[in-house]
Parts: sequence; C-alpha cells; structure tokens
Amino acid sequence: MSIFGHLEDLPFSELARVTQTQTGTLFLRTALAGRSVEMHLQTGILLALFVDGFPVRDEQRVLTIINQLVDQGSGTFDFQSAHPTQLLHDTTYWLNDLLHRAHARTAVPEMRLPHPETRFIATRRPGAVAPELQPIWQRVEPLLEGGASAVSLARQLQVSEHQARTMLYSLRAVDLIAPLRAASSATTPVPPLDSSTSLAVPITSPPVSTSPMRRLLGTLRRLTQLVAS
Amino acid sequence: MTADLMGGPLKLVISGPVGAGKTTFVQTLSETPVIATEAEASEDIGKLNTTVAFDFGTLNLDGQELHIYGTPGQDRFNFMWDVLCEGALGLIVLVAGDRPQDFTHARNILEYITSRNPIPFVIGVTHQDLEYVWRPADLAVYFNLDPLQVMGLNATEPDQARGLLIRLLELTLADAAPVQTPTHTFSLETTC
Repeated sequence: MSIFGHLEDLPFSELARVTQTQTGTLFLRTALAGRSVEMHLQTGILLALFVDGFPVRDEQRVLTIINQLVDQGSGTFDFQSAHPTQLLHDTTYWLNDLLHRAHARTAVPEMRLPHPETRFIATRRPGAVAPELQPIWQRVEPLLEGGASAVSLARQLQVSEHQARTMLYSLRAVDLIAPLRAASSATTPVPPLDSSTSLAVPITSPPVSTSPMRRLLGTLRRLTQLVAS
Repeated sequence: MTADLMGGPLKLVISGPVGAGKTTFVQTLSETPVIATEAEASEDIGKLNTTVAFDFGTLNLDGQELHIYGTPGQDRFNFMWDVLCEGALGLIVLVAGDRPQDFTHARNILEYITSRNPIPFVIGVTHQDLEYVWRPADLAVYFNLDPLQVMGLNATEPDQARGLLIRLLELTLADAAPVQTPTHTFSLETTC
C-alpha cells in the first residue's frame, strides 16, 4: 500500500491532488463524523461516491460532502489502485472543480501553515477564483510579484502573521500560488528578504564550476552498481 | 547553484524532519566517523535522542573531498539551515515514507530553504524496505516536483545513499549545461 495516512495529517484537499494521477478507490474511514466515504476515481474524475455504502449522485450533495471533507475530514484513508473496468461509473465530476468550489471554514492547524518566511509567487494559471477566495486574492495578488512571505504580507496588509500564513495556505490549496525557488529566480530581480531575516542569504548564484562535481559524479558512478533506466 | 572554485571540499546538506534518517544517511555515506551532536530530546519527538547542531561526515573520492552536513530536524534550529546551505553544492531533503504525518513538515523545510537559497535539491523517501510506505512518484505529486527529483531509498544502504547523491549531481549538471543533458538517468537495482 502506498497512499495511506490520517486526514488530520494530510488534509483532503492535498490527498485529492495526490490521487489525481491515479485510478482506483479511495477509502476514507470514519471521515464524516464517524461515517465512511468511498470514492471511485479515474485520473481526477470522480466516478462514484458512497457514504456508508449508499451511493450519492446529486451534484449538490456531492459538493456538500466534499466541503465537509475539506472542512472537517478526519480518520484514516487509503487508496487502492484498480483498473477502470473494476470501478463503478455513477457520476462524472472533476474532483479539482469540486475542490475549487469547496473552502475550509474552520481554523487551519498551525502545523499545516507555511513557514512565515517562505516566499510565494502567483502561478498565473488561468481560471476563475472561487468567490470565497476573491477578497483574499484581490489583496494578495498585487503583492506577489517577485515573491511574498507571510512576514512581508503581514506588514503590508496590516494583518497578523498567522492571518497572512492562513491566506497563503488557502491560496496554495487551490494552486493560485506556489513557493518561489531562489534558484529559478536568480536570473531575475528579486526584492530583498524581509528585514526581520538577519542572516545573509545568497539570492544570486555565484559562478558555477562544474568540474569538481563532474569528477565526483564519475567516481560515484564507478562505485555504485547502476543500471540504465 | 554553487561549487567550490578553488578545488577545495564540496559541501552537501542533508535536511528533513526528525526521524527521516538524516544521521543514518550521513553515517552511510561518510568514510570517516561521523561527528554527531546528539542530545537527549527535551520533548516527545518519538525517539530518545536527536541532533541539536549538525552531523558531520566526509567522503573523499579520487582526491575530491565532500563534506556532508546533516541538519537538525526541529524547526527551532532552523537558523542552522541557512548557515549550512551557504555555498553548498546541493541539498538532500529526507522524509520517511511510512510517516505521512511528517510530509507537511518536510515540505515546509524544503520550501523555506529553497525560497531563500539558490540551491539544487532532491528528495529522498526513506524506509522503502517497508510494506506500508509511500512511493517516490506519489510524493513527487505531493511536493509538486518533477518525479526525477524524488527518489526512494533505504538510508542504511551505501549504494542507495550514493545513488541519491548521483541523482542530485546529474540533475545539477544537466541544469548547468542543458546541451549535455544525459540521455538517461541512473536507477538502482532495487524496488525503490
């Protein structure tokens, strides 16, 4: 078994993203206040949904269940791969669309929030922003050019650092933002880090000398039993 | 990406949550006895001792010395992450594949470090010898990374530890010289 865990550790929105490349059945045990949920999925399409063994087909009810899973999901989960012919075909909903319409209303646990100094940028993906996220997006989006962290957003938007981290969490959950990689931004101007970060951190790469790395790589390859893939 | 221009030692940083296998990985790669700064854990982290400063090991291959630094896994030591990453040739973030409760922390560590430091990196998913374990391809989706950047291993196996380092170097060199991108990447004769 390769996809398993607790929804308390891996929230449903993230679990759903992981399963989007898979085909099989997702079992969510005691996920909805003690009730179990079973989802038949084919590469991101919800083919069938059962709650305690009873099928759910109505779009509004499906959306309500997805909302509850995003908001209050708990208990264990595991995913079992299957051939599409082994799955039931009751419905056809894009799980990602359902997730975009869902929105966590309860407080996000501290451990799920990004580090205050991790910087994010807009992904510039086309697509509508869910109405619930519009107010946050309109405030945050103009500040993301070049990267923005919870620390810098808190200062610019005059909100608490925790609020800023929660905003970033919400936007990231629907892929509106992604973490900035300093390596990929090294060739473009990047604003200075927050003044609160006292350590000197290189942002632009120094000249690269690859010869020691090539030497190291050649020796490691000789030492290691390899097969070409 | 950085590298030592004077032919001196190269530096590799190993990071990840508590219990991911960082100290084991450094011990497996190192040719010299690892200098470890372990202390009794002051809180419940699932084990009695944990790294509080860093682990240090060395590897000398055909005269090229590699210094290997394992970072502490707890957030309160995160000032060490920047210090250790400065000038490093690369970063390896380890995460235990049988501990999904640590995935968020591992991702936060990776994103914190790489958003502040222009450092090449790969992810190592440890404990691949277990039956109930997340596979590298699934964690690549979770981390939103190219599957080539995420590799499974058992940190106690020297070939697999070296394999992860090889993957890091291959990706780094391919990135530095795209025209010389290798036609294949290596894999190990394991189930990882």
